[in-house]
Amino acid sequence: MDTIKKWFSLLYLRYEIVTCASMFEPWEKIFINVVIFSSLLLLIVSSCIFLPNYLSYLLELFGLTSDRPDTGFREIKT
Amino acid sequence: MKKSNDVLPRTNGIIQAYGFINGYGNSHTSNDKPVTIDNYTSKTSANAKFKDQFVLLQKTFLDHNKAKKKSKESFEEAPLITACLTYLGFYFLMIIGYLNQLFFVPKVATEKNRDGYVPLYDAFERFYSCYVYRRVKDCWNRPICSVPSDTLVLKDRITNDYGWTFEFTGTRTKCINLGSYNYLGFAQNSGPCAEDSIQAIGKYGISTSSTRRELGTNTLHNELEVLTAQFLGAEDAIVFGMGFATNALNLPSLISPGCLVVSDEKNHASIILGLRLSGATVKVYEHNNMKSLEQVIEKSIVNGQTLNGKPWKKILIILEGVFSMEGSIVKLPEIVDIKKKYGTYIYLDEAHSVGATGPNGRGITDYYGIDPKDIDIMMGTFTKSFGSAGGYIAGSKNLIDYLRTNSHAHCYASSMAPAVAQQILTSMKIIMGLDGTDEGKQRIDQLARNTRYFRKRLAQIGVITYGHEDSPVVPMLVYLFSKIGAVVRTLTKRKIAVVGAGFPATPIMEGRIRFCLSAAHTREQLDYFLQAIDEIGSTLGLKYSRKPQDAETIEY
Repeated sequence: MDTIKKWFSLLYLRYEIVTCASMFEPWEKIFINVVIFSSLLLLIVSSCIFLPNYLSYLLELFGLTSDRPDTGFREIKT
Repeated sequence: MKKSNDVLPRTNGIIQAYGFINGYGNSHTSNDKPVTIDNYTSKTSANAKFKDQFVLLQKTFLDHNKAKKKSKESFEEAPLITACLTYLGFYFLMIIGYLNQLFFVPKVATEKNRDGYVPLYDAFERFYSCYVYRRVKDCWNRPICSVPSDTLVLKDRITNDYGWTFEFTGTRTKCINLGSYNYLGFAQNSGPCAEDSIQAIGKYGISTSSTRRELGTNTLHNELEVLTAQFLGAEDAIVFGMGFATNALNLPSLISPGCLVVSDEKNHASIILGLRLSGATVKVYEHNNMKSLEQVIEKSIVNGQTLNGKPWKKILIILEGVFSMEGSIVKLPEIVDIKKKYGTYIYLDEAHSVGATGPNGRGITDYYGIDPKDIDIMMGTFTKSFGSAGGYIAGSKNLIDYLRTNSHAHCYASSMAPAVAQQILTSMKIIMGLDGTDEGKQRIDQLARNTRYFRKRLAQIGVITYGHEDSPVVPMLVYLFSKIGAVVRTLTKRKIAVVGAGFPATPIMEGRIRFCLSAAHTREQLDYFLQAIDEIGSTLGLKYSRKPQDAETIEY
């Protein structure tokens, strides 16, 4: 438990240094954290939702798959 | 294969490689298939081919090692990811800074009754110092209240408004000092130098209150000039009360419009100011790159003056002995060759090298064993190794006489204070061994030992350091702007005082911490410091180096 705590504090320290958050005033720190985490969240959510469809569409486009999966993306396209 | 400069293990390695190849071949021949003649001959020819290749490989390997051994300087490149993160950090700083400037300007930063005046500072400069530099301002300009020798006493201060203003807490911290240019450890408040200086005040007063050309010359100045010339092996020397002014005010009297100056890109601000004042054409060559220097000179000689194509009046190469930000040592022998080939002059700024380099502490010429008469103008300061203030120019008698009549710093600036001159005289005599002891020699050896040990240990720890292995200025690269502040603050907590340098003093990418070694440092102090660097290097992530590290213990 203690080592996990230590590991997380080290990780947070590195994060703060890379984003310069260690030099910021409190409101700036909150602002930059919100910006970074919301953009990360958006990226993760969008890639979870759309990436599988995109990938299967790409595979189909280059003729790498024989069977045609029934994807929502293709339906919209046709 | 541990020691790269040892010959024997390396040949062993090559022989082992041979053995491996032969063994491979043998195992191939001893398989079930019958060996035909054709097969056999092709195999032997293949073996011979291998042998040829290996001889070639060995040769290139040896050549490569020779070249490696020759260049003692290292400028390891940063990992790409670090470069990206550094820029990312700067983008964040800029964006947040502009937002802050837009919405939350504190009371201390708003000016009153300034309507109708134009702003005094450039807009970006103001923004940078208020919203980027302010965040780490507590790491610079820290007040001290002791002699800056191997240790110093910091006056603690705190800020309640994020760096706009500071307050003293009233407490003091004693720290190990790795930030002062105290190469030979003459910054002392006791000992022969201090005693002599105090006596000089009693005898000559605090100041001469006049310029050298009027009433400001006394016997100390004359004695110092003679001794400086003797110290450097030059015909004559002239001394000034300020090191920065020695460059900035003497260069305009030496060169004029129509002259060409070829200047190293990492030259100090005082040289650049002097060159701008002189009005000469300045061309910059890549740092310590002899090919670039030769190209610039060749091109300039072929093309002549920029406007009318006439030949140049004079060509002057300006360089420093030890570069204060890079920690590199100038390649003087090559430059003297270039000088002789093209008939140019050399102006050598030995601000950081005089006293600190060379077996006798006489500077770069001593380090390379070059005749000082090959260097036309030798400039240096007394601020660093001698623990005093001021600067000198040494050279031929003609040159110095010319400077005595024409130099602005000689004619108009007030002369060196007697106590300051006495400090230089005593410390210089100690370095030269004229005081009858070998203390000077001991100090020089101690500095060389400290430097070697410190640089090797840092390489072992795995941080990237720049520069030459014999240079007492050791910049440690931390790259990220926020890491400069983090390292300086963490080290201060561990009672170690260091100096950081970031943009605009260095390129944006290359934030660094600069350590200056001293003969006054003991092994215990260095070990304590290296231990601290090892620990914070792991937590803050400073171990960028991808070079192989030998695990052997390094002898002091």
